[in-house]
Amino acid sequence: MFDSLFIAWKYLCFQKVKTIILIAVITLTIYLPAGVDALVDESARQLRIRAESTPLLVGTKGSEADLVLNSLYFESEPPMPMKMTEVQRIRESEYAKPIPLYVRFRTKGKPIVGTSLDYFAFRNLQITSGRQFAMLGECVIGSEIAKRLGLVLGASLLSESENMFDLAGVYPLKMKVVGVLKPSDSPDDDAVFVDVKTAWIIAGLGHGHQDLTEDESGDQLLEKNGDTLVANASVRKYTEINAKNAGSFHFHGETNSFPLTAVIAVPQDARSQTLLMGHYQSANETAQIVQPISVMEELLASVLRVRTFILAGVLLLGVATSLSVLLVFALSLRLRKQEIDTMRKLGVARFRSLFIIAWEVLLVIGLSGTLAAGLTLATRQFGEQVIHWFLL
Amino acid sequence: MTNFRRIDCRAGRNIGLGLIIALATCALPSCREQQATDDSDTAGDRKLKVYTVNYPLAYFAQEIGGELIEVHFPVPADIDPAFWAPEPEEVAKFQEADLILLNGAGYAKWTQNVSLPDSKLLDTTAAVKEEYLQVEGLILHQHGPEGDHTHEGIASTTWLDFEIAKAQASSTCKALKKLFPDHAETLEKRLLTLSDKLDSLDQELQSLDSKQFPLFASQPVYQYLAKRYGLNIQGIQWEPDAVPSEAAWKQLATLLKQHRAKVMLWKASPLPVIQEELGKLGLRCVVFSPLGNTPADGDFISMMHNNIKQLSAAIK
Repeated sequence: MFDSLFIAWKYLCFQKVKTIILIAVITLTIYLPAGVDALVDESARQLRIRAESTPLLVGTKGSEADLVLNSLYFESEPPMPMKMTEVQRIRESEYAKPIPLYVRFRTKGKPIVGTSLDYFAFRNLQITSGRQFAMLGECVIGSEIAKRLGLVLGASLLSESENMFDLAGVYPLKMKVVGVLKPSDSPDDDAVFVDVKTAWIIAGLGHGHQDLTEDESGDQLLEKNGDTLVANASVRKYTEINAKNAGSFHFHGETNSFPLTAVIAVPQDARSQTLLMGHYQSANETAQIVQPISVMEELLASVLRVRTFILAGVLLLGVATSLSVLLVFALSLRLRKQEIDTMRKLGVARFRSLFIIAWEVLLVIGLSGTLAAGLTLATRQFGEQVIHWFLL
Repeated sequence: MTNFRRIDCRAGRNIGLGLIIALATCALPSCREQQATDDSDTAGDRKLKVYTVNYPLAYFAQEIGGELIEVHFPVPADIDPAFWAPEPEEVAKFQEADLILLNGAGYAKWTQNVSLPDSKLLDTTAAVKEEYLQVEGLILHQHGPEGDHTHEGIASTTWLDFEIAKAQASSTCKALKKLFPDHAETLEKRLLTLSDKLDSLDQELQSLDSKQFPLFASQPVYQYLAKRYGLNIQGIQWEPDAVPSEAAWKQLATLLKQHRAKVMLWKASPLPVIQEELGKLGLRCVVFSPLGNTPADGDFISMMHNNIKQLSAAIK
């Protein structure tokens, strides 16, 4: 038996190109459905983990999917803004700890997440170098951003304009990197975190400018009527917050009315969660409360339906490829008729020559199956990283 | 044509071995684990750190929390805590606190321009916001599309109304009871003791016969004191360690014609030259320290008694 196996092996080694092509075709035919399945499973698992770890999300009524994708993965368009008062409302209910989120702006294509320090404790994010943001204008970056952009402590990041044609729009803010987070294998690795107040400054709701009451030359003052100062357009607005001008930064209006994209609500217990959800069931309610895992399951159900179609297509392709491979084997036997005759003339029994050919087929299929299994296992093993690189 | 060579039976075994190694290489164990969040809010045996933005709150917290807590009030003694500007390292210490007591009413504006954990913050005057008093004479300015606006000004030395001070102590106690549910009774008793002391201050001021006695105040920090105890105070803006300009003296002389005060309240003892000049105008200087920062001697209660005693003596 091993003699036949050896001869079959030697034949396959001799016909290297043909064997490699056959193995590649069969491997891909087996791997494609299994690999797609593994990748979809892995991405679904990761999406579920993030959603499961976020008990409740509060946002303005609208697309639940947008609210969840923007708040959890910092993807998709920002949902309709809600007011900061919602944070106060949740806190005063004493059912949950509110964590504000304002995910609207970007820097170097990466999301700027305006939030509070409670977010880091909630997600168990730790600083690997530097410190937490403490002053306005400071930011903490995810490990992936630090690595990809080569950013170190003290480096600067400039917020991007939302619309390049908006000449009268808000000034970009130069943010100082004061800390880098430990890798967490989550979208937090690829985000820039700032205090929600810094995000409001980026939105133009707060600013710092020259103190005209201390302007000795008076060049910029157009009019001084009692306590009312009217200045010309040359009054300098600061685009960077530092120790010298930090005191001049201020907000216009009541910060409770300032915008957020969502609030993460971390309930005390199951009862508090139910009671808090009940608060948002009124017909006149302008805000909605969602359980991210429920929204995610709905999204994943749609993805799984698509996966079924893809798998059906891939399986049909597999059947067609298998038939082609069968044809190749059949034609190969016809081409090798002279070789088989020679073996018989040398005294090799008929069943032995069939045995050798069967071994050849088994070896090719076995190697292909093993390779496909290895690739599938590797996909399952490293799928998380693959998804991070390409999808998240 | 197949190339026949001498058969070696070991070769077949090598193929099988190769397949096993290939499978083993692919099946590396996964090391990832989802880390559980640890966000405990309750105190164990360790002392919890309570940070405050002014001395009165530090005093209230210490009186109520006692040995259960470590009270930190890191503002240097020579700086008015209302206008302190902490360095990032000092803010980082506040970030590590278990409870941060804010005065509210816009006191310590620096807290609005730094990042502090929301869940640890306690605005001690949140329950008495309707008692807030506005500060007059703010600078109006305009820029951008928002038009005219002022930066809202609320008088912030709320604790000089001892009823508000009691409310601040009460909300501090409520927060401490959440952190130490097993010591709720002790904390409540200590709050009662503190409230009694504040009541005695309140009674002393209520009994002052000063309703029609005009006073000047060198700083706009006595609004709550004036309102609660019916003091007729006219505020100006003088610093105890800076000699006022000629114009300021003229302005005071004009004001004196309308507001015939004989006493000027100061948050700290003014320079001798100021005292001398004020004496010429018939004005006596009385130090009534708001005690925003830690006093050199005594504590909040004893120093407040001292303040009231001096005021009482001056208006007799």
